[in-house]
Amino acid sequence: MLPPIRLCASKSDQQKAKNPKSVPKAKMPSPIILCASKADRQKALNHKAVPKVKASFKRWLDLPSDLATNILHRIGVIDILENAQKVCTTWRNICKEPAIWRVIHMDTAFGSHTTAQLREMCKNAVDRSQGQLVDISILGFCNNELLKYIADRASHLRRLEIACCYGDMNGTWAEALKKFPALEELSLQKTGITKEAIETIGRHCPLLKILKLNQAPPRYLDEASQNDLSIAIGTNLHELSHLELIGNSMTNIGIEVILDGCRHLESLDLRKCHYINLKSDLGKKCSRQIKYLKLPEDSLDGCPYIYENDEDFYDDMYPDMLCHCHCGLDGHDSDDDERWTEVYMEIFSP
Amino acid sequence: MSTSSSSSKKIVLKSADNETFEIDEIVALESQAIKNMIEDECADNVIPLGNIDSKTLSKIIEYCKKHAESPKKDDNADIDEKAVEDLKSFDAEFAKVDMPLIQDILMAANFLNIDNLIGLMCRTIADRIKGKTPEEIRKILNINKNDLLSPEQEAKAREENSWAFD
Repeated sequence: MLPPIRLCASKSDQQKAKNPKSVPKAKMPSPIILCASKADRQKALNHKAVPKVKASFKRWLDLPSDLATNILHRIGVIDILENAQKVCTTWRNICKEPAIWRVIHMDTAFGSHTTAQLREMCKNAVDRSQGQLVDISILGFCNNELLKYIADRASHLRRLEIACCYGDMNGTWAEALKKFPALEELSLQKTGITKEAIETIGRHCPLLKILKLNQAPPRYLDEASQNDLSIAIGTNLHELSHLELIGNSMTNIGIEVILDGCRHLESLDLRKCHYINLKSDLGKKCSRQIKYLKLPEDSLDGCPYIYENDEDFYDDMYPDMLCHCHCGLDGHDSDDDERWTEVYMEIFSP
Repeated sequence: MSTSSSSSKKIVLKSADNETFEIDEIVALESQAIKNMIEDECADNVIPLGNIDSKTLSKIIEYCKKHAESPKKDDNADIDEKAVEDLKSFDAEFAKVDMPLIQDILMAANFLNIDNLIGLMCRTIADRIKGKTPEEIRKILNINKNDLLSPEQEAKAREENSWAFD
């Protein structure tokens, strides 16, 4: 037979000697009795007021909302909007909570929606966040209108990721970035940006620490502007700690400006930067100053959107589209955008 | 990671249906809630868990044992790949139980504050309802029929889903 249960016994009963160390407590997110302050807990336990979890086990509706949130996050935006919010009134109410929408991640690779539908869903999700949005990833369907829409409604945004946006958004970036004063990370994969936009970041996003501007290597090199982005980064973004410039067209001039301007830089990714030559003093300077350095010839492993054969792919399969996508020529409209995304999907979907 | 815990202090957990489980303290420490109790010297050597039945509790102990024995990620930068794989496949097997038990484990893990287990159960549930229609989800989760959307709410929801009509 076991001794009688005696939780929170009097001080004298406690076996102090067995727990000599006082370890700092980890944060306790759930408001359950065991996590309450010692006094509260003792009181509760003395009154045998342990919550009756068992009674509610089978009643799914009583699932604590932080657990429901946890589950909903994992099924993703599209599933929430299309299915979960129609399951029952409880879930419908949870799905209206802005807290659910603080992180929005949407990807064309799942489901069968058109890019136009995805944009509408994304707007709906942004609306639901009621200004609490802090992290958004839009993979494969962003355009000017959507970027503007987000910029007007997410002033607390800390992380923005856009991938495979082949339309010309150059006109929108500068305006949009002014509205993200809390931005800490900007990640653009196969999505163009201008030097003017980088200058805007320098003026309006003082917290930006992480910048990723990853591209397939340029097919047509414009020597007059090949260092524009890198120089803009080095002269405007002095607080960066992590910089990825995969496929950038810069030369040693650009990288020198970056090394001199971004003194807090710890990691620098130069994969596929074929126009720099690090077999020189510059190479030594790089490895002295940068803790984590990736070199032009390093493998593209772990880089989700850029492929070894990107150049061949464009050449062989879609020479006409390449010109449109990479040079940012005029004449872009949303139909083209749609068409290109579909082409992309066809090739890269699993 | 110490394996000498067999000689260390024991903790006894007592389920709602009065079954007792003696476990090494290090296993019990997987539960942040129990850890805090022990640190605050608020626990005797028997901890009553009046809201967790023995079936659920034994599953939870099985999980905590495995995770307590496994090398922690922050122990070493180059963690043993095999140990990570091993833990992954353990988790996958562990989650192959019916939905009521998953719900019980989730609620209990939430009560005991076992972060990894909460995550595993939420992920399992999410995987099972992902891509399913509302009706299928209701069936999977055994949602109470009294809580269905009213016709007005249904209409409103359809209206909000404007993209569906494009």
